[in-house]
Amino acid sequence: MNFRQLTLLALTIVSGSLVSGLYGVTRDQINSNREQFEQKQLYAVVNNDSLTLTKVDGAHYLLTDDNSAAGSVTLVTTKAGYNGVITLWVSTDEVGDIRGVRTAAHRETPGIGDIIDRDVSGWIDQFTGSIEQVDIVSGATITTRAVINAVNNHLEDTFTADSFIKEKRHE
Amino acid sequence: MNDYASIAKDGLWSNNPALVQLLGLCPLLAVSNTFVTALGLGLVTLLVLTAANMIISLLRNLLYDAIRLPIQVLIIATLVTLADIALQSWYFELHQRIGLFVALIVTNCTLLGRAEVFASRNPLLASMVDGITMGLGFLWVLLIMGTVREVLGHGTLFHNFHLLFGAKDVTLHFAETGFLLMVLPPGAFLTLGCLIAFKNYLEMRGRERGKTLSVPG
Repeated sequence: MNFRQLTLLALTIVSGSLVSGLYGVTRDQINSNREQFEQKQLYAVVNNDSLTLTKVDGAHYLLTDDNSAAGSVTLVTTKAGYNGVITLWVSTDEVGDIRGVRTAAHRETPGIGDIIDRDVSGWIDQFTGSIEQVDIVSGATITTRAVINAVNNHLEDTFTADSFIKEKRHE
Repeated sequence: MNDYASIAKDGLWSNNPALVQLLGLCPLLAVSNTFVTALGLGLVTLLVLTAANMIISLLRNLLYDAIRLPIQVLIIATLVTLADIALQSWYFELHQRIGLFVALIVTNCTLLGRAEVFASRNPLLASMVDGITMGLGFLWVLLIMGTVREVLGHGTLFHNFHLLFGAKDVTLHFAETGFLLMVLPPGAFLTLGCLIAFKNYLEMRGRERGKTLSVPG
């Protein structure tokens, strides 16, 4: 090996150790950041800080209130949106009323379909309680309908009730 | 004009990485849709660029032709990865928004360009000044674009500012909705184009004024 190769090798080793060193030091912090962030998002869906979340798996959490069941939070996906998959967190109580819905991930058109994102508009806040109607937004018909249908499908799968959410159109 | 002042003028204005060299357009166009993402990515770029310039300047006697580029890329990639991990550790929510583009700083040609053109041939202090001023040059263009695009596109300014500095929400609201085009990539090209045209206009006017003044009489 000549001097140049050794230089490159040494620098690579130094760089590698720096990266893995920093990762080792911050790994716990990053993991706890991620957990906190997810918890924060989940509690925004649940709308009630006094309930306890228990993780079943990455897409399903159970809610308890002093050891009695108080509903669930479930990750629901739909491909009926305008662009790719929409992922939603849907939280319900035990009888089928909605606690809240939040968009976890979407690729809908910025400025049009992204009104389903809570950071962009409050549209998704309509899903609460035993609602019967949700606004369809003109211009974003496909996106909003996809979200309503996804929530309905989840309610259908989980509960036997048939009072599902209908679309409300403004004339 | 001394050396450092001319280096600074180069980075901030006459050889500005975004307006003149037109380097680093990918992150420039991608994160400039709001002020806060622009500021976040601009600051990370500034730090990484300065650190990369300093390290490469220190190692410049080891940079033989055959291994020059791999070493520069290695140093830049390492620094960007370190910055990425640090962001995840300290500014997790901001990282959720700009994380994708932080990794892309590696491909920001401004960094490799300054390493190759300046830092590998100049002493430590000059390279540091070059890194800082080039980074600031990139940052001020990003901030102007972020401001223009956020005000016109979203109707707000400083949205999510608390993600960066932890203070309370300081968002200014101007309108309920904005002009969609400004949020989309074409808005970035239009804003950048206008900025470049304005800079060229200022320079041209300056030159003509200089001509008139230098006429003997």
